[in-house]
Amino acid sequence: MSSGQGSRVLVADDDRDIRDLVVFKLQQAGFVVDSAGDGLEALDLARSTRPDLLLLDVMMPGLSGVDVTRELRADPATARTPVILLTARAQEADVETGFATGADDYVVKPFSPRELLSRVQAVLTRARS
Amino acid sequence: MTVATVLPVALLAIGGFLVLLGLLTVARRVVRCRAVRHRRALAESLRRTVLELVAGEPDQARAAGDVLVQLDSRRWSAVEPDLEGLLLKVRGETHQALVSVLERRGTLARALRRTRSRDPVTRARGAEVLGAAARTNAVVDLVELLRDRDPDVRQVAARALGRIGSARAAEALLGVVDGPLAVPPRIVSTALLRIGVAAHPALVRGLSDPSALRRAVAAEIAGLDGAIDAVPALLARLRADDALEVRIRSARAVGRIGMPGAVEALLAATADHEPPPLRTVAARALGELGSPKAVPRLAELLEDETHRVAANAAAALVRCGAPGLAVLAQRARDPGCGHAREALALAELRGVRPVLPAPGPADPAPAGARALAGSAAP
Repeated sequence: MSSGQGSRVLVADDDRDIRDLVVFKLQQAGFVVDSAGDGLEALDLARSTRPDLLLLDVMMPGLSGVDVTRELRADPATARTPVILLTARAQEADVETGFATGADDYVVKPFSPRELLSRVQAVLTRARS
Repeated sequence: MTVATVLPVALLAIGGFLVLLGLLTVARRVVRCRAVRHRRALAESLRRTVLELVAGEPDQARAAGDVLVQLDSRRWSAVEPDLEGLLLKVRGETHQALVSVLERRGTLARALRRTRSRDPVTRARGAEVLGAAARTNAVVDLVELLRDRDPDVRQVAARALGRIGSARAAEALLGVVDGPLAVPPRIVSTALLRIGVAAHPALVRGLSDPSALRRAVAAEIAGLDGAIDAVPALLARLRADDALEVRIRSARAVGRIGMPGAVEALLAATADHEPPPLRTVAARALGELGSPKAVPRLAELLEDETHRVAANAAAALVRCGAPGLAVLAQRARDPGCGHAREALALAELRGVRPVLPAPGPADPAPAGARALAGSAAP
């Protein structure tokens, strides 16, 4: 499967298992994937690599996924980059804040990697149309 | 031999012993660190296979599963904790694939045996794995652990039962919110909410339990989970339970569930002779139902001497739509009815406005009410 067609995705999660499996799934689907273990690294990478989409964990050390989204939206260069938040069930309230700051979608953990891939593809398609 | 000759020898022997003990401790630590490093290196060498199992295409995942099942015991011991850890992070077919490998490799049968270990950490670990794997055949053993002498084991078992989600587990969970071997109600509540609809029959039965705490937890969870089938029992508790806490939680629950048939019981609960905490919650719950039938009583409550009752009545009137808003707008002209003005101001922030008749020259509306007049009700 190579539905990613070289699109660049940045995955940020402080949980190595989640990060590795998302990176693996997306690479298999043909995406070019960068990864970060915290919010600050994610923000730096987002500014330097200009990904087509970001997958951000809500709870990360340094800057949360919501904080990173807010920073990206404030910068004209990254203001339109689609963002999907990864959140634990208990943090669903944070998703409201996430949407308010401009996130495009969210995925609740635990998740199915296949479902996550579908969401990434859907958000990218929507962003391009 | 004198003390002067024995003392140096004894000190030398003690010193030698301490040095030897220190060396042994260091050696043990070095060996343990090397073992951990070795285990990590082994697990790392199998990382790609693990990722193929959880995130690969179906054929790839099947092949990876076969590789993992056939590992020698040394490599399996290295990778097993990683697979167990992933159980709580994925769902769907990926979770199934993990469970299948752990089952074929005997991890789940071993986890079941671990729940009977003498060591509490081992029992808790066994319970955790069984819960993460959602093993329905482990419910009986986990229910046993709810009465474990170790409080941490009981809590892990409660969480595990919540993840498995069986009706039988719900009954058992509700039974351990009190007593000498209790599990904190917060943990029981979370587990019951995870179980969801399957827990509803147990909640209905729990509302008739002799224990007030169990009835209170059952009422709270029934409301949070929208257990419509529990409404008759909740109304009975609201009307006549001996424990105020149960009545309060029942009032909150019927408001959350939102059955129109609860209006009468909630109106009765706002009666002047009822305890203020119950009247406060009942007034709020009437707002959640949003029934126009509640408007006259809520209007009376605007002047209640208990601040929270009056404030909740005002907020409830907003939720009753046009009739409630009209009452508030009218009462807002009264300088003594600050609750009405506050509720209208908050409603205006949310874009809700009442329809008001134009004020006559002898009856000027206050600025706040005039500002709200002339727009559509929700």
